[in-house]
Amino acid sequence: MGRREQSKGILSRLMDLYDWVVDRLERTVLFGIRLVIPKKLLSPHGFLGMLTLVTFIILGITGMLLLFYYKPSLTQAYDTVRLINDDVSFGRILRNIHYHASNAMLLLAIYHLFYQLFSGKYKVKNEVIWVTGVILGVLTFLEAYTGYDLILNERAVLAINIGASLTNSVPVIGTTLARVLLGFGFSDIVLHFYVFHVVIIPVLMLILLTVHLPRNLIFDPPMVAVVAGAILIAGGLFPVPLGVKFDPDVPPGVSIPEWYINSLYALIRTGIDKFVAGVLLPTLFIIYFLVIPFIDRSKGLSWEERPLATGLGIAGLAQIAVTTVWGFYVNPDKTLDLATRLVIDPVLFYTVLVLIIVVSLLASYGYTKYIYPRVKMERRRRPEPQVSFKLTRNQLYAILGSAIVAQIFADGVAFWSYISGMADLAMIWMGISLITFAVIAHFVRVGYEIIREE
Amino acid sequence: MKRRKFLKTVMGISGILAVTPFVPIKDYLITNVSFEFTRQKIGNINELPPGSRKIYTYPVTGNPELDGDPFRKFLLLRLPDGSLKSYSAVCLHLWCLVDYKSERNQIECPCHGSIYDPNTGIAIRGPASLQFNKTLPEVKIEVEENGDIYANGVVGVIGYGKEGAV
Repeated sequence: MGRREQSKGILSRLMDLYDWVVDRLERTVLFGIRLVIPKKLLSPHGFLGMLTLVTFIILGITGMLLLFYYKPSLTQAYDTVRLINDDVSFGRILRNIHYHASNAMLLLAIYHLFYQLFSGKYKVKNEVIWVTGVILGVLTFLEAYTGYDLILNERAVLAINIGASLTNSVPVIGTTLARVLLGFGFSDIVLHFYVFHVVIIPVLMLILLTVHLPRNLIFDPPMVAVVAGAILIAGGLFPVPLGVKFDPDVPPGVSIPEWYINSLYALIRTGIDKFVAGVLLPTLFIIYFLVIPFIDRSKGLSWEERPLATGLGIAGLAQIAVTTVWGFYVNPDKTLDLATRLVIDPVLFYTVLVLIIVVSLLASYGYTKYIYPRVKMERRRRPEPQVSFKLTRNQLYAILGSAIVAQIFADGVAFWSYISGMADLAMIWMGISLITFAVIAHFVRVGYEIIREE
Repeated sequence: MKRRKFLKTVMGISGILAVTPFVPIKDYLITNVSFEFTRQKIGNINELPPGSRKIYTYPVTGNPELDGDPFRKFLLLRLPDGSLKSYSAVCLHLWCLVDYKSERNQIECPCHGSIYDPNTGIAIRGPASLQFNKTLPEVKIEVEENGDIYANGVVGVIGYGKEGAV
């Protein structure tokens, strides 16, 4: 007995320890979640939510690290961000990952929402998941909004002003609400936004995640690495600027906020009542998404068979796009005063928004009624083309080998750039290294397939 | 089975390669960017008779929150023989602020009684003397012709001693 124990290597002992821990963890909530790692290349449409969650985790990790240096104070907020950006080693990389991951999270969340909408996923007992998802989307927006204000540059203060004036515009409770949410004075605003950004909203999101995440989760390492790599490459190519430090004595001039609040910005600039434009209409928009599962009574799951939901979905997407782009527009005629230059013609603006709904619904009903039956017939006639092409084992090894060499090269360039003080270039090559990992992880999976078939 | 193992190894190596560029994140965690030990005037020799001391802040930032940090507090000593010495005032035992007692010509910690030799900064008695790190970080001092004293850099890591100079 004793002799057999001795003959065990360190590795097999570690495996025993691993088994021992796993056996005990089976009793915990951790094993209630089933993590599925796909054995084939799947369309990421099926796990866009998981990719959104991954960006949320990236944001959590980088955000926590940024807290080591950031100080939520009126006098020091901008300076500490500048310190992180310019002086602390690796700070620029972390800040850019955090910034670009926030954009990625918002884009993925929007993509996720519309994919689920068009594919009718909320129909099969997923109403709770849908509703919590919409709320999570709103929270993601608020999280991004409170985050980018923390730097306290001119652009941030513009966004703070928008948020504060919208809160104030709420009838009856507005000013009280503003005092609760924002405190009193700019010093309080920074601290309050900080608390919302790092504690309150993330905790609410984590709580909602427990009733949003399905029990079966698809975790696809290659696609996750692609997303992470893309964030890094975006960070290297488009490093987020520091902007101009906020100075209450200096008027900021015209500045355009982050893209995700441009919709709001455009609505407010139409000059109609601020509460209606900036609070009521966006709230209606959110409610419209919340109730879609309850008004869509169609039988089918395909978008082609659900003209109402599809029309509303297209309308929502188009409205987001149009208002966002419109928010970038400022009358270039500098002879006019600022107030005139910023105004967006309300008649034109709201007519376009209503027309979008009408046109989308007409188009989707028209498609379902007149075009879809023909498409369906044609599809039935034509069998799905079978694409099949197989890698030989040698080809696979060649791919894996060259990918590893490429990755070593990418790592080398990344290290060299980092040591030479070129953080942006380092970020690009770190991203390339991650994407090369994605390629390798995918072809390893292909390799397993080949082995299985032999 | 062998081929599976090979594929697994390739993926493992690639995974390690994907995360290695993140290793320099350690620099982010251990940087002390707010401490820039540049040349700074800390006093004049004429205000310090032999056997006296001055407590000063170094490096000064002008921000009261940062300047109040005990890690920025230093002792400037004029020893009885007239020589000048300057050490971090942070005791290496548990980070209390130490002070110079001229009557006994030694640096004493009021918290747990560690005693340092003012000539070397080495803890000679008390809990600090029992540690591996027992030499107070020393400030490089320059004296101008008019008697102005300047601090210009620190040898060692404040709170961790000269030995702990990483």
